[in-house]
Amino acid sequence: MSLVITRHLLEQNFVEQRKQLCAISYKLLGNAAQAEEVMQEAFLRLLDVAIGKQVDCLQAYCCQVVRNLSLDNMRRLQVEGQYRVYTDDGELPQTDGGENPQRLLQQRQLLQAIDAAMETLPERTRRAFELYRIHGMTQRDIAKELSCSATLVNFMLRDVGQALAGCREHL
Amino acid sequence: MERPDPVWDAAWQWVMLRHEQGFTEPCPTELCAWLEADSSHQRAYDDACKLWEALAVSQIAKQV
Repeated sequence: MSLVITRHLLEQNFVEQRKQLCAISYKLLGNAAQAEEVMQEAFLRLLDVAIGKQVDCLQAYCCQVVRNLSLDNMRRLQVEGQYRVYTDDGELPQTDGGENPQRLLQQRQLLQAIDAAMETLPERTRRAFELYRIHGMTQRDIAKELSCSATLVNFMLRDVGQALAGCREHL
Repeated sequence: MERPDPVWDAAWQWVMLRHEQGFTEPCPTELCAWLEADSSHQRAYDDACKLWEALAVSQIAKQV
């Protein structure tokens, strides 16, 4: 069963779900002010693109938009270098103030766990993942670059997921 | 290597698909259905999204 999103439905749902949506954003960003900004952005984005769309579940759809925008926001912070916590000399980087030291420590532990998990993978698998994740190459192009089949590339990318499963405890 | 977990594997593949589509595209209805089918799916997907971001940080940090 699907429904067509109207402005009224969207507003109603957003008001009712606001607390839950804000919690999703806050959980990802760890910053209440940024979470609020994402909420405003999400509502404007939804008004812009969602009206008239058919969805199975409006609540799930709104959650997804907030999650995606929060992730985009995290990405922006990475670009600005504010999220980078793992430096060669082991010092914590400067942040924009108000960062929770416990959270920074957790992030550092997470990145160390990721590095250790990635080290267990063959060099070619790591290279395939880098081309995919950082350089945005398609699986087909990676196959050409590494002179192997696209199926093998897909398996390698899935292997990365399996290798990282143990890192979930650091999230 | 961890013991394969089918829910985690599925969550990881969804994140890969979202990466290819661009995360700001609306959630595919199949993904919404999968997320709602079981709370473990949502947890796995959330974790996979977070790890996906952390991986970029980890990899970019090495390149800088």
